[in-house]
Amino acid sequence: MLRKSGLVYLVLMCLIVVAIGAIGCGEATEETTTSETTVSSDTTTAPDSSDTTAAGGEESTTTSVASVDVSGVKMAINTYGTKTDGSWSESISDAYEALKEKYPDLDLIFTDNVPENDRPQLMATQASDGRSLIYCDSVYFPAIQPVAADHPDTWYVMPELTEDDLAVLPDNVTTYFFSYAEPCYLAGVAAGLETKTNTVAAILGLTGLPDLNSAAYAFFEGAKSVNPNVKFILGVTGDFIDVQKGYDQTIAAIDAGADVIMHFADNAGKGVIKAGVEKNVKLVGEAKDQLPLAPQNIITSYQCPHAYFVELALLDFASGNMSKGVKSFSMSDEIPELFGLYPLTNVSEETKAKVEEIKQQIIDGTLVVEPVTETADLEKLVQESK
Amino acid sequence: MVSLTFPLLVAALGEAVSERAGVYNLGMEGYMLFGAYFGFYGALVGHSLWVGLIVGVVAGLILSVVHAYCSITLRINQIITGVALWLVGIGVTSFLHRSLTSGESKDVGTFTDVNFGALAKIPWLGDIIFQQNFLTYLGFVLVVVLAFVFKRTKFGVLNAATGDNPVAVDLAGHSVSRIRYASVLVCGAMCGLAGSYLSLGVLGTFSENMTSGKGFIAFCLVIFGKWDPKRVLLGALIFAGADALQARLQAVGLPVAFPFLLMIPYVLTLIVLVTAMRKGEAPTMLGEPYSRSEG
Repeated sequence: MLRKSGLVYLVLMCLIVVAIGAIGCGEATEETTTSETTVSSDTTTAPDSSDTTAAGGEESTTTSVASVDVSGVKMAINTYGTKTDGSWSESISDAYEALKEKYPDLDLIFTDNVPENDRPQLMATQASDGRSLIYCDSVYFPAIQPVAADHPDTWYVMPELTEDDLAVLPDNVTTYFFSYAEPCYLAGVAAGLETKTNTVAAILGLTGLPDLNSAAYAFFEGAKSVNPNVKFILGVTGDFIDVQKGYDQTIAAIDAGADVIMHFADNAGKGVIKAGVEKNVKLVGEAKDQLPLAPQNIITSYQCPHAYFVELALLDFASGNMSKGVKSFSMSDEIPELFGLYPLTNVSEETKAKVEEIKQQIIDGTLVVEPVTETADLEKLVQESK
Repeated sequence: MVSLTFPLLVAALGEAVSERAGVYNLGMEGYMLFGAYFGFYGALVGHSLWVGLIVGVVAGLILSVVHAYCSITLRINQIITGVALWLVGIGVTSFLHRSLTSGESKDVGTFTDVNFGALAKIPWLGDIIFQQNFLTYLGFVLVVVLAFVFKRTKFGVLNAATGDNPVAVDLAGHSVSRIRYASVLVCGAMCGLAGSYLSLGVLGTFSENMTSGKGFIAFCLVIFGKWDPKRVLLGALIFAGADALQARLQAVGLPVAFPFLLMIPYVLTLIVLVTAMRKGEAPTMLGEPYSRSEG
């Protein structure tokens, strides 16, 4: 009898602990609205009448911030990774926090760290729960197709999809496209000027993903544009979570001669930064301003404008402007500070001046940085530099 | 290479102790995460890496108590409790990391390298062998210690006997439960140490799910090593060496697709496992709960 009661007690304890763990793994915060809310317009980074181009060449403009009523909107923001990764998913978490603060009456929830197999169920549950607008990062792409088809009344917004991607998706899916090529090109310019060993490296979580490939390719191209003799090292951890793999891969790159290293490895990027600090090389951060993680080593970080996109999605939806199509953004838009680099640090004044010069060329349209997304092209560029 | 060897080696050694006594620990990943997080947190609040190390070891041990109680006393399926504790490890450490430290990867520092003087300057070998922190050398010492314990001590003999023939151990007047409890707790402590190494020996911080499957790799290394500390060390070195090799092959630009390079450590370990494995090596009563009335 004692053993049976002990078993019951233990099972209950385990359930409580697992429940705590489940709460910790996925966070959702709801705020309900009971009255109309008028959006404040006192922001310098709020989406406004942007230069946007929908699929088929049609222009669609967003409504002015001040006149949009978001009351009654139920929205969800989902990211694949952990919100403490210091880069990608944390930038989406920051976007959620900013949106929650700016629109306190918005019914908004956030979910992170969702295993791949659970993502369709998550989004289906959110839609069934009445979430009419769901923003999720591009890692959710495989999950979206069946879910969106089953819930035609819910809008799904997923950044960085191409027209080919959208073509296979239902009509209630749309995207905001932003290329990492431009900011990473600028970061590459800085790297090409700052390297003392004439070797720069890019550490990626995976190859084969268009945004990662384009970021690394542009980084290398930017370095080469100011330093034709520069060599490239490409390291792939195969994992966006394993910090030790990021560390080991970076050590290998440094041992091979790299002294300026960018990463697009999300949580594994913490290992990249740790190795960079340990070996005292220069680093380019991802998605967030990672200078606080390595104040003596980070020269810049490239931006991921999730905060802008989530608000744009909300305003587009609330104003009835949401439509299926690729809305593209770049530094040549009116808000280059959202699609570029965080301020350069730990670099020479000459480097800062050169980067600024090339940045203006991109903004003016004098220099066009096209995203190159094929892995074969990236590998070829690396091989040719040897 | 060495930074990956230690967590795999120490966790696998702990699991070898437990499995020799007849108890699986699929929750090793959870113990390691507990060790990693509580090691980090202990160092953070105690302002000492040593405090963190001790806290990490104890944390792994405490979680293993749950497994021991479930699998030995309650005789619940060991695989199920192990998987449950793995999930508990992920959930609890993520929850605590966000609650107690706001999810920030604060730098608590790492153990410094042992000073070997001129030996550290030997080309290539100096970097691998003589520029490591003391935890790394502790791992190798543990191999020697466990090999001695398994062969030359009463506990070692009873540990193996409990896994092969617990009835005989019971008839000889020894407590099968106590031996199994002790073995599982040793495993928990060693996995806690392995996890603490990740946060205090290499990275100086904690990151959610930072073990990333190393517990399961260590689980496989036990089988590869046939529950022998020396062979487990060999397996850990092979895997870690292969992992370091693929990183360096990438860095020198070997014209091979990255997925194939990333596969190297896993394929190599599988090959060695398949070719080296012989039947009849596992403890006879591995995974089987023991009850005197049913023995």
